[in-house]
Amino acid sequence: MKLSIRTAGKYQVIQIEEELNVISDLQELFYLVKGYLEQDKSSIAVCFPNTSYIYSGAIAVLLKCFKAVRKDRGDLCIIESNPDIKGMLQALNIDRVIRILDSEEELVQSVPDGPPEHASLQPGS
Amino acid sequence: MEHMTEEIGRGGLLGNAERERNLSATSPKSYRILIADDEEGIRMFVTLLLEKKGYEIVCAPDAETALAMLSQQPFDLLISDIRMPGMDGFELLQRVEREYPQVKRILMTGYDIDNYIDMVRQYNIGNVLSKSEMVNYDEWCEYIESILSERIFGLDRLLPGASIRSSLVQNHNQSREICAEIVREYQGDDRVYFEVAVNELITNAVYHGVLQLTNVSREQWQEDYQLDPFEAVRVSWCSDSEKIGVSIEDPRGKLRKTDVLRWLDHRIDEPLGDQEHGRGFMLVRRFIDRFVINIDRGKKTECVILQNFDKRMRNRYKPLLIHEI
Repeated sequence: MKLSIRTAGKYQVIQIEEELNVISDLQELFYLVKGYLEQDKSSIAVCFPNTSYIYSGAIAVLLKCFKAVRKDRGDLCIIESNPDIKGMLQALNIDRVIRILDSEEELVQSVPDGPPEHASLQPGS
Repeated sequence: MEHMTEEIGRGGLLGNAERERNLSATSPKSYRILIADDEEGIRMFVTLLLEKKGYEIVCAPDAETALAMLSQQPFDLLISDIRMPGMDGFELLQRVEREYPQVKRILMTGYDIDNYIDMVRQYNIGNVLSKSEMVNYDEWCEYIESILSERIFGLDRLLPGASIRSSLVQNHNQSREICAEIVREYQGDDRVYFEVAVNELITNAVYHGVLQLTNVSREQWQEDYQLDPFEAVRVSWCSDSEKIGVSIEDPRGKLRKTDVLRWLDHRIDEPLGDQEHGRGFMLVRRFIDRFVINIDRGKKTECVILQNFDKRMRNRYKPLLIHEI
């Protein structure tokens, strides 16, 4: 998987540069997030500017990453996803658990307040 | 191309008249259908619709009357509305399943079926038709005929007149090539969702259906699988100027109606451990016009999708079609 990494405010931004459509990509993403957590970097944003779609395996791994991050009292959100990806995430109600922001600027200015109250995804659940 | 695509014939190059004759020929008068609906107009309309196909129709205005009729006469199929005064359709179907298990059962509703998914799951109901589909006379009757005859498999039943092609998926590369070939035929402007649906269903057939990795985390799945010919996943597809249909078949028949209903009833606030799988089916149901699941337990599972290219032609309320024999 081609990806780039940068910092935006306190966030580590993982930018997925191509289609996230093979299973090894999911492993890579998961271990990258775990690596950040081991370095006590628990504010993470995943960015999909050049990805046209996302499939259920990737969503499952994103949720797994989210769970690991929340366990460390951190935040994982999604930024710069295209309308199709946003539509898929919304269809699965993922936006009720993981924040989806339009831009990096919005990310830096936003104050994470944990998952929305109506989502009961508890750390360690 | 690594995979071999074969043309397996036409999905019924029949004119409407000939289809009608064939359908009538396979719909013996002896099939007796009981309709339970509190709306007289609906009872009349369904009666007209199905009598033309040669079925014998009896109507009941509520669940209690339907039960009384079932105790006095034999029926092959009960089609019940969900909302009725007194006992509702869910309870009626449950009673009928318990007391008359040989009677096949279908619910119908004028409302959005997805709002009832938790109840559908609770009562383990596979077929819920939308009353709004009745305007699509042939399709509605096709569902009834499939359920009655238990001839549930095959893309040709849903897309008559189109030329069906077919390929086997034995490895990941073939899966991607076939998916790309199918997606190239898609003429709608929402190709991404269609591509996701095809991908999800092939993935599901390979990893859940054949490799049985349902209890393994997604990131642990391996792409270097090689299926033997006898366990390969068959993908068939066809299109006409208005729509495209795809059938994905695995030869194990391990999928269960209860699994499908559990997946479709996923709620995001359930513990994450329960959410590892199943979102693919949710995406397909959300973005595809028709999603039909046919299961012959232990023998074969088939997922069929049918998508109109023109969004305006898609139904507002989608039927739930899980046939398990």
